Amino acid sequence: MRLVFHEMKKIWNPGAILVTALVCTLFYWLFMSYFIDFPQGHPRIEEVASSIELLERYGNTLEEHEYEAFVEETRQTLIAEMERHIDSLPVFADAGIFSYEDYERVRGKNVQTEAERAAVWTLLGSETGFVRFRMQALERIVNAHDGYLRYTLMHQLSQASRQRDIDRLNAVMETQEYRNIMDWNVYENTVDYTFCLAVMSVLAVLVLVSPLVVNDRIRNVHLLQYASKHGRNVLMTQLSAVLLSAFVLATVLLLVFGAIYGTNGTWVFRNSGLTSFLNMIVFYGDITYGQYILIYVAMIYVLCLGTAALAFVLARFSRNLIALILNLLPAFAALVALCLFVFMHPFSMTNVLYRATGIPGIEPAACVLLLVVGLTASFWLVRREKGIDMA
Amino acid sequence: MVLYWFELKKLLASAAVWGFLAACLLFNMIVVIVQGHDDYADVVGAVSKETGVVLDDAFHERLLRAASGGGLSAHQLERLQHETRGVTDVFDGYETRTIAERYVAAAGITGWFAEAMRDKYAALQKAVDAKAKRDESLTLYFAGSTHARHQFLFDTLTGWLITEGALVAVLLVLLSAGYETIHRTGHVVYATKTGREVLRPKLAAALTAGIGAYFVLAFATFLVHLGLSEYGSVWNSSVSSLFNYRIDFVAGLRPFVTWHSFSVLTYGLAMIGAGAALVLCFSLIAFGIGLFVRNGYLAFLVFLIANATAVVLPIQIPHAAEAVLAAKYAAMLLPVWLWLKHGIWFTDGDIDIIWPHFETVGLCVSLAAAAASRLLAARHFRKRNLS
Repeated sequence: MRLVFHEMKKIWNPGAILVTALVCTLFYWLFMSYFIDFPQGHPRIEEVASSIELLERYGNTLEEHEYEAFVEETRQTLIAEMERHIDSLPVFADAGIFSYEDYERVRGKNVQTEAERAAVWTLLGSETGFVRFRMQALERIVNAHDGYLRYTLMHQLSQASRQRDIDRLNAVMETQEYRNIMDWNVYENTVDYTFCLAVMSVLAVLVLVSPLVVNDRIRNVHLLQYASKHGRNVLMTQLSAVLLSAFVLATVLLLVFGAIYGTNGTWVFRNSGLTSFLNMIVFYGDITYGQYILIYVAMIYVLCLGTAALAFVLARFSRNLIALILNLLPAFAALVALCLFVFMHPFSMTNVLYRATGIPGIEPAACVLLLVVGLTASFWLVRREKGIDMA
Repeated sequence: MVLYWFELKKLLASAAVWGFLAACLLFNMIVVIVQGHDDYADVVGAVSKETGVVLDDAFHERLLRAASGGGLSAHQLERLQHETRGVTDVFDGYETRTIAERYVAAAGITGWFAEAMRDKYAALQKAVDAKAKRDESLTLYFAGSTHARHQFLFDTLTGWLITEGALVAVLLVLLSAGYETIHRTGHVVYATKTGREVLRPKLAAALTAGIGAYFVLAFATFLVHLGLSEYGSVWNSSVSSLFNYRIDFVAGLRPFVTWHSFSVLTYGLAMIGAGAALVLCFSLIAFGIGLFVRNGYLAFLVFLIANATAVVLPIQIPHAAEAVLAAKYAAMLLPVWLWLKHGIWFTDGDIDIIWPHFETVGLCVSLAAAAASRLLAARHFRKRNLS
């Protein structure tokens, strides 16, 4: 174990840590920071707010009577608020608008006068607390609720070709699993962020752990090591150090970037089932947002360990550091493709891997397969090294 | 010259370089096969051999003859007739001033920057008027498939080619610059004044190999694409055809306007040429880094980090002060930004660009700056303590 830590010290040298930190920081600013300031823009802000309001008032599911009461009450409140603004602000009178019905009529016109356009935008602006956008968010809930069984599920049923999928869609209908409150904006935002985090983890692992074996070989350190008591077992020690480093790095990345993501308030949906009338996608299992995050964390660990094992193999076959990069670049491209297949809408019927294979749980299985292939190749290399002629 | 050939031989002897090129080619083949196929575009290409590409009366007569001749899909010929019937010149009465005003308002720029933006579009108006005189928009290109095929060819495929070319060229340059360090021959080679002059053939060999690799990739990729697609006489069509357009969030949907009159062939050649110049810029920058950072792995990461920083800073820093805004517009001339905006080369650019011919100006400035910094780095290297 002492030797493993010495090898880890070689991996975690200040230069490598600095470069890895810089790579991660730049990657975050380029691709991930956008998902933290969430939600952005209207009516997305109002849509997420109304979903959170539903969650706070009714818990994780929305029953029929709760839905009816919520819609009726909110609609009355919003109309009353809009009427108040229409009565108090002269911009509406200038456009000939004296009630909410007048406003909607003008809003629906194909050609509007300057005064009418100003009045329409007033209820969509900050002056009135974006009240018309709040109404739009309510309309979205109504449309999603009323159209889910009739259109969304029916469309998916008509598209489904596997009996397993048809059974699952029927089960969602019968058990009314779609009554979960899970906002589509939140789910999409999380999927995009987690995909980027997976790519960043792969990149960081490749950058950090790859040079260890090549650096030793360039300096012929391995010949010196092979003459020692520990002998050719040193490659196994290096493999252990590489895997342990990948594990530590994955932990650090998950803690740092998970904590950053935690600041945007999406965790309130942790107990909500992902199959929801507010989410367009149907999942092949009854899974909550919190469970999805936990499985994702486990998948990132497996992915990072698999990547580290792959990097170890590629490094062993690289004669110098430039050759190492030339080997790592296609590997990185392949791993990004794997992340795309695995982390875009995982556990749902729209996931590419699931659509291609029809096997539930194919996404974590793909990560495990990467790890198994990487470890098998690494152990084969370690074993081969013991009998190789060094002359 | 002998040294040059030896250096070139060293680079070409690397199996990893050939493996990487093979991987790039394989990837390009996948892109061409998966994304490049378009039945309708192929029909238009085939028809263009008989009809020509100028949308005049003669074109419609020949198109009718082709439709009655059979052999091609009747439905697609009907679609082509429908798309080309009664077309008008999109540049007649087209005003670029509104684009300038939208960009100025959206970017919130004032003073010199706003004037520069307006001047750019005043200059573009002259190009538009010239196009209107020549009836450039009344050419076929790929009719209804023009936008998709143009985007595939000059945005997706050319983008990947430049990326792959730049990567392989940069790595070849770093391999060349660090070759003596890797093989621990540096202390022998660089022990004398003459020995340190070896940098010149090293750079020449690396640049030759890098640019050569880019052209090999481009040639092989386009060969496969052209083998699978039908272009006919479309090569002679103008890229500013009425069927070609651009979309951006601020200016909306607008015609594809280039500063000069480009046919599809000349535009393609110009793109490949500008791509080669960009690959050269990246190579020169990498060579400078390779001379200072002797660890090739670290040098490549420094190269990546420097370019990523050049992308992040103009996006993340608020443009409150005029100096910051000036720095942002100047940053658009950096090679990494030119790479990001390759899809709009030879056009007016977008909201981030205030100068006409931004790609030409950017490439000239970048090449000059990279060459000058390379000379300084080489000069420094001549007297550098390598212990």
